[in-house]
Amino acid sequence: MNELFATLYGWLKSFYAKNLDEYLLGYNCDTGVYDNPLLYGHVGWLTVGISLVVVCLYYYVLNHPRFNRWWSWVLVLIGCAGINLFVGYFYTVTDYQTGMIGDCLMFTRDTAGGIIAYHIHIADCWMFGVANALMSVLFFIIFSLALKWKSRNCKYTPF
Amino acid sequence: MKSVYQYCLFILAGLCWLTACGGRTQRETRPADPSTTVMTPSTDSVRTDVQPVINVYLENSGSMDGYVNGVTDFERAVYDYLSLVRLATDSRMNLFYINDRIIPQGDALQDFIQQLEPASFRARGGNRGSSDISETLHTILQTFNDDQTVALFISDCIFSPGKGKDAHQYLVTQEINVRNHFATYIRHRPMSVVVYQLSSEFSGLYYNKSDNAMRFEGKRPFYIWLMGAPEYVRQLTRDIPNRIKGSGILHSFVVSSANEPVPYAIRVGSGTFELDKQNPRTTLKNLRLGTRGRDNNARFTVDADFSSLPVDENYIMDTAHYDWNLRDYTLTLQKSNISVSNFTNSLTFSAPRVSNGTLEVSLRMDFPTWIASATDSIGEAPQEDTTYGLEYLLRGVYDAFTHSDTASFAKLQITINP
Repeated sequence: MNELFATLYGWLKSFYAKNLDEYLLGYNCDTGVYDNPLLYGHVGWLTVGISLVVVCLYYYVLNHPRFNRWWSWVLVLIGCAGINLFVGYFYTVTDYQTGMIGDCLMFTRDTAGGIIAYHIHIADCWMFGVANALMSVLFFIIFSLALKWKSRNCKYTPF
Repeated sequence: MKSVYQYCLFILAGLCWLTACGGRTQRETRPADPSTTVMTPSTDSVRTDVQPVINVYLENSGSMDGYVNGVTDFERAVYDYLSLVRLATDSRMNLFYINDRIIPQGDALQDFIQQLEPASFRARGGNRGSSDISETLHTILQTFNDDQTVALFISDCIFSPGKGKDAHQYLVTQEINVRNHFATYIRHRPMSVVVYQLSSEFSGLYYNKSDNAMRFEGKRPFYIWLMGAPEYVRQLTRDIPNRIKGSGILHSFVVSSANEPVPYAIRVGSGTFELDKQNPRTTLKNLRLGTRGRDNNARFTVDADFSSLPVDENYIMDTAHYDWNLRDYTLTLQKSNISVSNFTNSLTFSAPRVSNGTLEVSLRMDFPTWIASATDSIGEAPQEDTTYGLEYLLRGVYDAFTHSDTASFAKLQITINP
């Protein structure tokens, strides 16, 4: 399943820096192989979980005729995407700021150790958040179609 | 309704907490599989726990008298180099004179140097009229009883065919003998040989190829040989500075058998490609032309750790010493800082179009071009910067280490898949 998440996020990896993608795939600067945890799996499961919870809340907790319009559903979808945007951002920016990302992925250094190029920026963390938001839209739609049928007031939302 | 919202907020707060903290404990790097660990100098095979035994053989044939007549660069350089060797290794150092036999001189270095005078050479005995260099080297090789022995041989390396001998035939025979002696040795034990050329004042009798003596005052080259197990020779070439008192090292010649595989890896992000997830160090795929600015080439960089090689940085940094098979790619070299990147050098391959296949790169073990110009091919009169028969001598050593296909110090193989 983790590999599936890596494949899914791979569709959107052009949104952010290549080296951030390598980090999330588990590239280890010390060994030169992918023996670090596959972080796409971690964030993928979080995003799936959040999307699933929001879908369940909408259809079975909120479950109100006042909110069974298609635009209500869209608003909830946007809200879910917004949450997952910040999930993706904070997931990566925390590692970025605490130095968890390997040096070889972050920088190119000269022989004296001085940084001559940066490969990952804060903006890449935001863009990963955007990619994660898009991924949550996909999961939200899938869970909506799969789980809405038992909802008393929203089973025909969005269609 | 209010409870519903409170319920929702509670769940969302829990999810946010999970985002911030929940996966953190799983972020720890898995312990590296030793089989995949990129070697660093700290995990290198240098046997720093066992220091080598250093045996120093100083040729004391008659032709060497001119180097020790008075205080000369020869004495300064030899004293300086032997002192540095002793400081670098803290090893036991045994001192010998050598001509047709080995004459022990104890282990007191300072006394040894102070007694470097023609009179001491004469007094220590041995057949000082003989200078059969191949036999001298054979004698030294026979003293290697184990992998912990390192031999330093100091000589003018001049062949002396003698009167009435066919000099050319003599040199060819010597070359073959030298080759056979070393080839026989390295069949059983790995070895590196480093030969340094230095220069010194010379004041005394020079013996030409016919053993005719003639007085000479001026500069003459001499040589310090370093022979032993590759890891000890590497330790000495790495830890001892190239700048030795006196003339310093003018040129060097290096050969080595059984070189350890060199650690290397494709540098992530060094071009537009993807690393193969199964073999990311050696295999890349989907290499494409660059799209940044004027960089329209397909390129990638391979980082390598050449610290285990006995050759110096100048040799490694010369692209003329490299062979590679995919000639669409051009090679550029850069130094790296091993304390920063775990590697000593980077090799960047660049091509105007993508060529897939297996890129095989080798750092050749070349026969240095300086040797031909440092060889006196006539042997009648002393020259300031040439040595009679030098090329035959070092060619014999070189052939012993490279008798099969083109020998190399290091080989790298990179697979480029579509």
